[in-house]
Amino acid sequence: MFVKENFKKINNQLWEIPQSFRSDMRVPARVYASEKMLEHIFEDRSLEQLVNVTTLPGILKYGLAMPDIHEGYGFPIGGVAAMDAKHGVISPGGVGYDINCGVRLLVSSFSHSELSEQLVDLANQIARDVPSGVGRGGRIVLDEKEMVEVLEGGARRLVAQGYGVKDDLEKMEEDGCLLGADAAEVSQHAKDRGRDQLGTLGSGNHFLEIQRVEKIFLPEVAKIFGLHENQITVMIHTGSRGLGHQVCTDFVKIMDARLPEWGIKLPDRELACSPLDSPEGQRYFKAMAAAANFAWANRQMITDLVRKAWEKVLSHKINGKYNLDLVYDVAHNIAKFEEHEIDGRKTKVCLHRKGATRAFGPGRIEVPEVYRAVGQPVLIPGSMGTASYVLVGTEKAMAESFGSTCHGAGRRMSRAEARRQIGGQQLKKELEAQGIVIRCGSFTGLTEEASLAYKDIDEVVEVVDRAGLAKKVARLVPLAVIKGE
Amino acid sequence: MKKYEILDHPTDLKIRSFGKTKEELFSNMLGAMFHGARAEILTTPSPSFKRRGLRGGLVREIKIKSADEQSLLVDFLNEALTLSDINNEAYFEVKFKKLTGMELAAEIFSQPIEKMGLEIKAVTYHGVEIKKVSGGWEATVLFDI
Repeated sequence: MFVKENFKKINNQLWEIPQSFRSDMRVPARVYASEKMLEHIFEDRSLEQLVNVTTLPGILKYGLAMPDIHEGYGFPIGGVAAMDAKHGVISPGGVGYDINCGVRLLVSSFSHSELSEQLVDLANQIARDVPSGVGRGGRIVLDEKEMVEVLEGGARRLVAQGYGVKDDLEKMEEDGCLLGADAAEVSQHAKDRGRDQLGTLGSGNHFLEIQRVEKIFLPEVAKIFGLHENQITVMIHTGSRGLGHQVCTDFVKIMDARLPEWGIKLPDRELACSPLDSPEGQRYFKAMAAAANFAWANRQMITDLVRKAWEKVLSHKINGKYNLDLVYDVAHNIAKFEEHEIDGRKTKVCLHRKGATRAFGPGRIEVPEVYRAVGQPVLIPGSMGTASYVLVGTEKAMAESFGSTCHGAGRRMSRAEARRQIGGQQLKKELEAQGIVIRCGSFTGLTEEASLAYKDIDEVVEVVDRAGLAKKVARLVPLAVIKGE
Repeated sequence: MKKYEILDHPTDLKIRSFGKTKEELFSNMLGAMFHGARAEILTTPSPSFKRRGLRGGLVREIKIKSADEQSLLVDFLNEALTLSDINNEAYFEVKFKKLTGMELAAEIFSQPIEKMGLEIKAVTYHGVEIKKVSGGWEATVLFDI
């Protein structure tokens, strides 16, 4: 059990558990949180999991947790860890089962008042056209050759086939395709699971939202991102579906079996890992990259479906153009090779972000040229019915958090408790009373995603803003929510 | 003896199953997984059934070896979950041909589903436990959702 006395307060948003706290820690652990949030973080095992992360071979500087931290498997959700690229380990638990679960934001040229009458029709059309839930496949079934092309080409492959435009690729991390992917390292089980899942939303906390830009905080940055007040936007939150889940399952098992050979003793089995220079470590990276590419392709396909739905409903208002431009696409469950300054030296690391978002600051080559002067767009979805945010990455994030920030609100209540506290029909009425159109697969699924089950997104974002890891650019509010179960 | 109970967990699905024998324990956890996932079974032929070319009563084989009995249970459930996602099926019945501490061979019997109400991403090793209790056995498993 943790108490506040275990922590050294660095500042009002940052707390450190020193390396001396436990004998197997290789580096300290740091948590970004307000003092009030810290009390709640003690309620689950997330801090113990963060301390466990600091025991991993090759971890550098510190293990980090963002203010949306909560208990996960191996790593806590909201965890960030940099492993020495030569001597460190790679861990599927440091990425998560939903490899490259992520978010993208599209902007339209319409303001709220121009589209308010078409909102219901738009929501209905999108709900019809974008498959969601579990057990319903997408419109496309990939054969073996096509599967390889998607796993190794990612969103690039989809754009080449006409599902989007070249401009879209520039507005994604890795241009929508992580190098090093190898379809041969993805098991047949994983490919079979993903075969009919391209262009599907999934369920749980995955969603599609039509939103309105409610407030602009940094007008100059917002202008560069293409955002203005009252603008209609669309946000998509989904990942690699069953294919990614299977890749993680496969490699946790493979690595767990080999740990004794490497002399690695872990406080938690779900931290199963392999040395980066081992065959298993390299195989996992290649498979993870392939699954990440599947997720980018998935979000690209869904974007195409949404654009076509938009055209169907708004054909009388649009002159032949789909009218939805991509602002950016971020991954929040991924491991990537990046270069960061550690102890004054440029160091190549394998950066694990599990429920954490990249937030690169101005000047970084990885940031699209059109945004490079100000920094990378950071997209943080709120829980259902609450606000989402667009932020911008900072130099401070580069210095302090390996260019990382939070990813969302963070769950704080069980699904069963959420169902006890509110009924689905009542929740739908409350959301509709706020002017939000709801299209969902079931009332049970709706209840389980009620905002009362999550931390307050405004508080989470306030912490990262005050900590300087990312600065608020715009606040978006939902007008329509489309989700699976 | 009840077959299973769904326990409260802040973020995920936690199930405890019971059984007089290990076969019963594993079988009850299998069924519990699909109950926990809120599998909606297609019980009668429907347009969806025909359109998707679904069939019920298929036998799927599972053969696995694991490091220990706890891993065996997790790996068995993961295999069933994978088959479920590939084939749009749920499995509530199993016949074990072999179930030792580290090896399992079984046939599971399919029921086609309309959908799952809850998406289980994977069965985890996190806190997996099998223990002897009065009257038989008890197992606890955590599922990532």
